[in-house]
Amino acid sequence: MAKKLTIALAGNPNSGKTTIFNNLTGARQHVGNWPGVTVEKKEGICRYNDYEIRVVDLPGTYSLTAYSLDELIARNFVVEERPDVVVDIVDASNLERNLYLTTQFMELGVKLVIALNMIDLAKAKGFKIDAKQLSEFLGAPVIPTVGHKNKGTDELIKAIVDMGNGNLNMRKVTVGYGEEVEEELKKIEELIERDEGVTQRYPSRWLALKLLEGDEEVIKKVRGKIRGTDRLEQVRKSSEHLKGIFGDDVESIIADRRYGFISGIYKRVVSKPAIERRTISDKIDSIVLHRVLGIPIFLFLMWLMFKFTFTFSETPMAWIEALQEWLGNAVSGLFAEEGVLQSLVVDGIIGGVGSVIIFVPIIFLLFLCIAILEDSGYMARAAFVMDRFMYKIGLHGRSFIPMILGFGCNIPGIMATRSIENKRDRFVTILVNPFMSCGARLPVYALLIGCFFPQKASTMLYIIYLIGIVMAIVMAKIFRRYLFPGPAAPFVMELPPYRVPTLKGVIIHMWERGVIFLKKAGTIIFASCILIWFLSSFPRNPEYSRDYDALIQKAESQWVVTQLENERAFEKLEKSYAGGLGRIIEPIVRPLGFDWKIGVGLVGGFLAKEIVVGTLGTLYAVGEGDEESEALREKIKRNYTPLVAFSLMIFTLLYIPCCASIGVIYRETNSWKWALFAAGYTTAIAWIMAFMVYQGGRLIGLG
Amino acid sequence: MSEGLLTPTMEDYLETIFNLERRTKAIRVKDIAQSMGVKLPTVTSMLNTLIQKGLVNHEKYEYVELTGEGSKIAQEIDRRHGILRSFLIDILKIDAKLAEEDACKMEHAISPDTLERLLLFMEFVEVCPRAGSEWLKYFSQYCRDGRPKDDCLEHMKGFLDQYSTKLKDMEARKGVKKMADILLKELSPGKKGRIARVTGSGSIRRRILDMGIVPGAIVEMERVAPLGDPVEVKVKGYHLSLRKDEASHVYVGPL
Repeated sequence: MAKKLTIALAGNPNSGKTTIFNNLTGARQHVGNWPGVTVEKKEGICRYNDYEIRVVDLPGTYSLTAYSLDELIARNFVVEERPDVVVDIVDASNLERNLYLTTQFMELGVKLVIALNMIDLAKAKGFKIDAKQLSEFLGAPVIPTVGHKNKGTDELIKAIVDMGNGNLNMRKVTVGYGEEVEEELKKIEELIERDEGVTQRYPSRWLALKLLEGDEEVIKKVRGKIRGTDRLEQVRKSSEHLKGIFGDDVESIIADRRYGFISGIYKRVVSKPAIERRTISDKIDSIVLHRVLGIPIFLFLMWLMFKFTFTFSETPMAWIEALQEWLGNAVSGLFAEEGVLQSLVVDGIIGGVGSVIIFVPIIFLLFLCIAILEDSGYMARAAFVMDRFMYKIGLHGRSFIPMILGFGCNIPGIMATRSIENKRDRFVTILVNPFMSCGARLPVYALLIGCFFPQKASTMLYIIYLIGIVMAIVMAKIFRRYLFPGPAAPFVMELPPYRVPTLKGVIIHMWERGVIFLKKAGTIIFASCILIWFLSSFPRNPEYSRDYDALIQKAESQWVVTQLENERAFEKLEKSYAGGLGRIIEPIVRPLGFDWKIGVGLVGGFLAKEIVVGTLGTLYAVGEGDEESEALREKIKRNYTPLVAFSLMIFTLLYIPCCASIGVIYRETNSWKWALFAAGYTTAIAWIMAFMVYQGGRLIGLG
Repeated sequence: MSEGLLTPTMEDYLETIFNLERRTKAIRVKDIAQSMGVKLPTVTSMLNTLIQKGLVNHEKYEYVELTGEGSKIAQEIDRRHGILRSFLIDILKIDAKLAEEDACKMEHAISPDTLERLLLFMEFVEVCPRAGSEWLKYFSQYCRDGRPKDDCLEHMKGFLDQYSTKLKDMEARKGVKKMADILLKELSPGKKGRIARVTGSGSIRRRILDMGIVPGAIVEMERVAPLGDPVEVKVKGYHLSLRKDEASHVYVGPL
C-alpha cells in the first residue's frame, strides 16, 4: 500500500513556488478554495517510490502575521493541519528577505525542507551559496533547485520523503532575540505552559513571540482561556519593559533581530562579488519605468494585448460557429418533426453550449497575455506605474490587475481581487470591475461598429473601453469616499527581476483561468440560454396575424419562403414572454434612443451580454443573428442611427453585469446586498450615461 | 625575584595553576598532574622548586595556591598566551588547535618588546581604514588558493567602493554638524542611506519591517515612478516599491 505524506509548499511571492508546484505534481492538480474564505487553494499529488505525497500550495507570503488573510491561511494550515513537511521555497538570488519567512516556519516548529530555488540566477549574479552550511545553520535540508528547468526536483522529493518519515535528523535551531527579549519571552512562555489547552497545537515559544508582537489572532485565542488576563498582563509588562530598554516597540525589535539572525547566516554562507553588476533587469527597468516613457510603454502593451487577442481569436471562433451550426443541423435531422423537444435541444442546449464555447478563444488568449505579463514580472511594474493613479482614486496599484482581468471577463477579474489585502479596496474594486468591458460585450460592439463605424473600428473600440475605465475611476472615487471611507492599504511591494516566462508555466496559468471561466461562468451562461430560449419560445403557438403555413405553401420562390419564415419567427418572438417584457420596458429605454426590440435584447443581456446580438437577429427576422451576419447588419443600419448605436454600446458597457458576474460578486462579498447593489447602481449609471449621449447628441444635431 | 630565572616548564606550571584557580577554589596536586598530563611525583618536585622561589604556597596534603608574586607572573604569561593565540587565529588565520599549541611554545620565548609590537600591529589592522576584516578575508583566500589569477582588479574596485563609503562616513563624523536623519522619500535617486527608525503603527509598519526595512539596513533610492509616486528602493539586495506616504514613516541616516 502506498505510504501517504502531506506537504505544504510555502514561500515568498515570486520565489518560483508555482513552478516547483507544477514540477512536483505535473498535471495532477486540483484547484479549489480554502474553507470559509475565497482564497484559491491548489492541491496536487506527487508519487515517489511507494509514497503518495499530497502537495498543498499555500498562498505566497512574505511573513506570517495576522494582518493579511493569505498569511493567516498559510499559518493556520501549518498549525492546524500539521502537514508532515513544510517545503519553503526561497529565491537564492534574494536570500536575505526570503529567509525571513523561513525563520518564522522554524519558530512554528515544523519539519522544514528548503528549496534553494533559482540557484542559476544567483550564480549568474555572481553569488556563491554554500548550501551545506546553510542547511546546518537553519537546521533543515537545503536543496538547490532551478524550477523552470526542472532541476533538483528529484533531490527535493527525496529530502521531503526522508524528512517526512523521520530519516533525517537535523539540529534544532532557535532564532535568538537577544538576552533582554529572551528573558521576557521566557516569562510569557512559563505562563503559557501552565495551560495545556493552548500549547497543544502551538509551540509555546511561538505563542509567546506572537503575543509580544501584538498578534491579534493569537491574543484572541489567549484572551478567552483561563488565566488569559494574567498572560496578557505579563505581555503588556514585558513590552513596556522592552520599550523602555530599546526605545522602540517590540515588533520592530523582533523584526530587526530576525533579520540580524539571517544576516549572520548570510555573511557566512554567501560570497558576493566585490561589486554588484547592473543586471539586465535594472536596464529594462530604466526604460520601462522611465519617467517619460513609462506610461506610453504601459499603454502600448495594453493595446498590444488586445490587438493580439482579437486578431488571433477570429479564426478559432469561426470554426466553433461552423461546428455549432453543423451540429445543430445534424441533430435537427434526428428528430421526426419540429417540436418543443427539437427546439430545446437545437436552440436551447446546442445554442447554449455554443455561446459558452465561443468565448474560449478570447478568454484563453487574453489570459495567455496576462500570464505572460505576470510571469515576466511586468505586472508588478504596471502596478508601480499606475499606483499613483489608482491611489488618487482611492484604490491600490494591486487593484489594477483585477481591473485588467475584467477586460477578459469580469468573473476572474472579480475573483482576482482576492490578492488585495484591504477589504475596503477589495470591495470597491469588485463593485467597479463590471465597468471594465469584458469579452462578452464585444459581439455587441462588433455588430454595431461593423454597421456604423467600419472605418474607425479600432478607435471606436478603444473609446468604448476608455469610457468604461473612466466610469470605473469616477465610481471608485465616490465609493471610496462615501461607502468605504478609511485609510489606504499599503503599497509595500516587491518588484521582482524580469524573467523569461516558460511555456509550461504560461500554459498552465492560462488553462487554469480558462477553466475557471468555463466552470463558473459557463454553467450560468448555459442556464441563461435555456431561460432565454424558454422566454422567447413560449407561448408555443401564439395567434399569428397571418396564416404563415398557408402562405408558405403558396410561395413561388425559395426567397419568399425564407422571408416568410423569418417574419413568422419575428412575430413569434414579438408575442412571446420576452417580447412582452421588451414592450414593458420600452418607455424606460425610449429616451435613450432604443425601441422595444433593443429592450428585449437588453433583457436577454442580463443573462449574458452577447445575447443582445442574437436576440436582435431574431427580432429583425434574419434568423439566427450574429455580429458577422450581413443581413442583420443591413437591418440594423436601416433602422438605427450611429448615435443610437453609440448610445446602445455605452448602455451595454455599463448596465447590469451578467448574472454570472452578479453570482460571483455575491460569492466574493458574501452578501446579496452588495450583489444587488452592483446590479442596481450600474444600471442607473448606464441609463444616465446613455441618456446624456443620446439626448446630448441630438441637441448638437447628431443622429 | 627575577622572572628571568624561570624555565618554560616553571612558567607552564604557574599558568596551569592560574587557570585551575579560575575554575575551582581548591587545587590539589592531583588536579595539576591531570591537567598537565604528568605523574604526581614530578608535580611535587616542581612545586617544591616554586615554593622555594616564593611563587606557590603548599602545605603537605593541603591545597596548592599561588602567592601574590606567582599570581602576577602567571597573569602576565596568560596575557602573552592570549595575545599570541589571537594573532595566530585572527590575523594569520591558523587553525585554533595548532594556534593554541604554538602560542604555548611562543609565550616563553617572545620578548616583551616584540609582543607589544604584535599587539600594536593587531590594533592597526583593526583600525586602519585600509585594512580591516574584509582585507583579511582575502588573505585567508590567498592562503587557501594561492595568488588569484584575475580577481585583484575586481577586489581593487570593491575596495575603492568601500573606501569611498568609509571616507564619507569619516567625513560625516568629522563634519561640524552630523547629517540629520531624513525621510526615505527625500533621498534622491542613486543615493544610499542607513535606516534609522521606522515610525507609524499597524499593518503598514509591520509590512515595512517584514520587507527588510529594519533599523540599520542599507537602502538605496532607485527611482520615482513616472507619475511621481510611488518610489522604488533597493534594500537587502532586492527592489521594493512603496508610496511616498509610506516612505515618510521611514527615517534614513548617513551610512
